[in-house]
Amino acid sequence: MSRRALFARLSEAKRVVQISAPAGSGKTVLVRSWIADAGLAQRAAWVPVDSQERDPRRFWISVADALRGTAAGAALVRPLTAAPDLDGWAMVERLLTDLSRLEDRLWLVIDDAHLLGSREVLPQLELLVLRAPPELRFVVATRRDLQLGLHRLRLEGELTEIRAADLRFSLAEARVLFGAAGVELPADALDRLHGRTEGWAAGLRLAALSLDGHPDPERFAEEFAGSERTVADYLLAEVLDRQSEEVRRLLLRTSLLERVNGDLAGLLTGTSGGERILQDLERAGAFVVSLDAARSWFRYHRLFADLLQLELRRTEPGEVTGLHRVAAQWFAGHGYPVEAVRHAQAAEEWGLAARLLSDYWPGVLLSGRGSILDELLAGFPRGAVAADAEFIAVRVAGALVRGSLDEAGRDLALAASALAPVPADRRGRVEVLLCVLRFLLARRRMDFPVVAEEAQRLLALMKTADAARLGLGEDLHAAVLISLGTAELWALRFEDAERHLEQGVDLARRIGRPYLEFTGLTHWAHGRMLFRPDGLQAARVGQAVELAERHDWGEDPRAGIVCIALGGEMLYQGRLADAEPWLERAERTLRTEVEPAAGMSLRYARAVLEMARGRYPQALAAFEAADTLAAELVRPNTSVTSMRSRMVQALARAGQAGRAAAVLAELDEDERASAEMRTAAAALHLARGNPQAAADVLAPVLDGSVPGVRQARMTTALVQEAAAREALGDWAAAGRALERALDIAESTGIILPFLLDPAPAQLERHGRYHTAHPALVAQILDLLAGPGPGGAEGVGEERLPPPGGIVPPRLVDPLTDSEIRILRYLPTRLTAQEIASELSVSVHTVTTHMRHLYAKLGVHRRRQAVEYARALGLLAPAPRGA
Amino acid sequence: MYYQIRIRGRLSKTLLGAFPELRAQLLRSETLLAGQLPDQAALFGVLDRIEGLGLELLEVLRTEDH
Repeated sequence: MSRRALFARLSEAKRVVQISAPAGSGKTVLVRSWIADAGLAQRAAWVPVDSQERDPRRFWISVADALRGTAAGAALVRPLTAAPDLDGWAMVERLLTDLSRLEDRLWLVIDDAHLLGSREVLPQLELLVLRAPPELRFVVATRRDLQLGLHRLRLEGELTEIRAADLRFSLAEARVLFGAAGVELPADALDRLHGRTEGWAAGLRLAALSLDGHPDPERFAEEFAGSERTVADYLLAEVLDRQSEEVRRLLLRTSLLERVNGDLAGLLTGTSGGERILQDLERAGAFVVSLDAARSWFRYHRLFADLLQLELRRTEPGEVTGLHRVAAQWFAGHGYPVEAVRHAQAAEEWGLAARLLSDYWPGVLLSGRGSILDELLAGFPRGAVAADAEFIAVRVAGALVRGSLDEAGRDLALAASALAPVPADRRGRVEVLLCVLRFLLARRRMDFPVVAEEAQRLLALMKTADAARLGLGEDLHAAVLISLGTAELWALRFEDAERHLEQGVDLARRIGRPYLEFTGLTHWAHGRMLFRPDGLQAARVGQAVELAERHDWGEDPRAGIVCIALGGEMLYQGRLADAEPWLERAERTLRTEVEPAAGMSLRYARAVLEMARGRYPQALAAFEAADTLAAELVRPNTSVTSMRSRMVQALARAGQAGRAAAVLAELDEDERASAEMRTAAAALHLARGNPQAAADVLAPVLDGSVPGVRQARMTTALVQEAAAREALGDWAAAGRALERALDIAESTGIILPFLLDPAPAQLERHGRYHTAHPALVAQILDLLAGPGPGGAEGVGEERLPPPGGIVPPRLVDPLTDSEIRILRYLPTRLTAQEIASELSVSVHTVTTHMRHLYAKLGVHRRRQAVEYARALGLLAPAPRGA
Repeated sequence: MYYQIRIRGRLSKTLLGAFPELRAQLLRSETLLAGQLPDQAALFGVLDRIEGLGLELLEVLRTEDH
């Protein structure tokens, strides 16, 4: 059906077309036929909004997929992959980056945009619209006007609106429509039909279907015009009356599906030939549209689906539940667990729905769609969720996805106590799932004994013949290995950790789970850095970075962990200025509430960096942040002990001996005897002018009676020993201790301890006469002199190759989240006042942030700020011609 | 809360199936749906269905007496 005037408006529109009209107005059909008519199939990306999908990331993935389906988009847009914790904003930023080189005109059609509702995806879409290159055009079809900042576009003449009145068919168009359907009507009958339907597309289409081959069109028109029933309702009854029993049955019975194919239709109707009927219906422009090029999947126009469902409920009320049940089983059997659960819920088959959800949630979780679990749970009646062990297990998984560890812990206990009523044939599986959940929770909390225990149990189960029945697939296997390895890192069991991470990474690669592979690599690299910094991690970091690049996980929290690994490694080597941007990057991306252990590690690294620069107030603030996160981890925990010992050291050096002593006093006997806390106590004794006490407390570390002392800690002990011996007048012993410390530094590259306990005068004397490491001493002295013309901070002669897109910007002072949020708006034409109202903050707040971010970028004008931010990679590159 | 909702056209039994919580009164060329709804959320649920079925909403009234 050709509608010249509307086609012309679509073709000549500027940036954005909003088609805003009620159900059945022909929005979708108009856009589809315009695309066909104008030959734009290769230039139009079609995105139907899914009413069931609440996760904005799924929407953006479908946008990216649709764009990649166009000729120009295929060359520019990289695929988006679902990864937990990757948010919609980051996805939009990447689309903007990819599209910035767009030269051919491309249309992005968003159909049923009203279903986007008030979710956060709307402001994200607005950002895309405002910042997209001029060649990207938007067509937004919606039942309700959207709050998309369109008023500005309207003012700028960039908005074309097509509303209900524009979509109404004129009498002439109605005649063409009937003609195309093979219906010839006398003028007055046509006039009546047109008047009665008021040019409403759905009404005219239904009328055309009813009249196809009708013996007496004039009488039909007359009766319809005389009826007071609503248009769609009247006509639908007429259409159904005229269909064969086979078609009618299919229409009614499949109307309750979000999407349907021939197989499913056959199952619901009990006959074959479903696919042919669906294809015929689509060809006739009735009820359904195909979803794929092969025309195997279809969905109903929503209005008709709703009407058909009501008719089904009225005529066959007893069938509805059974149909949902059959659909649930089909979807479950064909690998669509989410749809399966929803149909089981619609059938009020709570047992089936619960079983499906219980069987499939681990797969849903591991494929990065965990955020949908809470929503599926909400589809159950209240009482059921409260009492049933299997439900509670899903709720625990949902809480873990959100990072609500306390809630997860409470529910886990609840689930374990509700196991008794679970039928025997399912109990084994449920117990395994609870085991998986206990394992995941313990992993998050770094509760190593529990992690190890549950992991061993799971790994043993995976070797049994029962594994598949218990739902222990290879993806879960890989996840367990990687999580176990990560936990072992924190427990300082480096050999075990490395073995398990390696196995997990290999398995993840083999079964094609890049996100798991990436996770494993990042932890491996981080562990190497923490426990055996030897440069070998560079290769693994390279692999992780390559994966992150390919899937654009640069802003993913896991990438944050790689950044900690890299920054921490540089920190150990005394390359403070090199380390800082990596830590900043991690500070921006890491969600500490989801990964408290990594969060603590990051705050700890920041604290040590500040400490090495002698900035004690900043160091202490970071230590405090680390300590807050440490409270969420299970104690005793070696990394917490390590962090707190450095905190005591910083307090002592900052002149806060009282607080340092208080921290030490709280420790139990075992902790106080550790090498870490002995160096902490030594720092306090030295600060209080008691070198003998310092030497005494260090002795067991230096003579090897404290086992498993890490190299960096040993160096610290030796540097402290040197200071104590010198204060006691034993210069020879001081020199021996210092030389031992330098030996370690030379062989490992670990220089940091010399910066944390700076003793430049002593080092200088030592370096002149008594050392085998004069170059190293000179280098440390250089570092202690600090950056500037005299000091050369950053000694790394062997820098890592720049890892593509996740190279952080080199800002001295990183931008805060609020400043970055403001920065995103700077390329637009919005005034500060308008930005303020966009973000619902005061204009004063906006101008303050702008001032700060100008200062940090070292610029004075908005245009400069934008250019500079783009050069730093903080903003997507400039759109062509903007 | 008691609501009255006026819709254009006479709704068939099939369409009325979409509003089980309300009583329907068929007028000459309109339908009056009326009944007790627990809150605004329930009201918007009804309005959503009216929109979804392509019906024309004429009036929504909240009344004290019923």
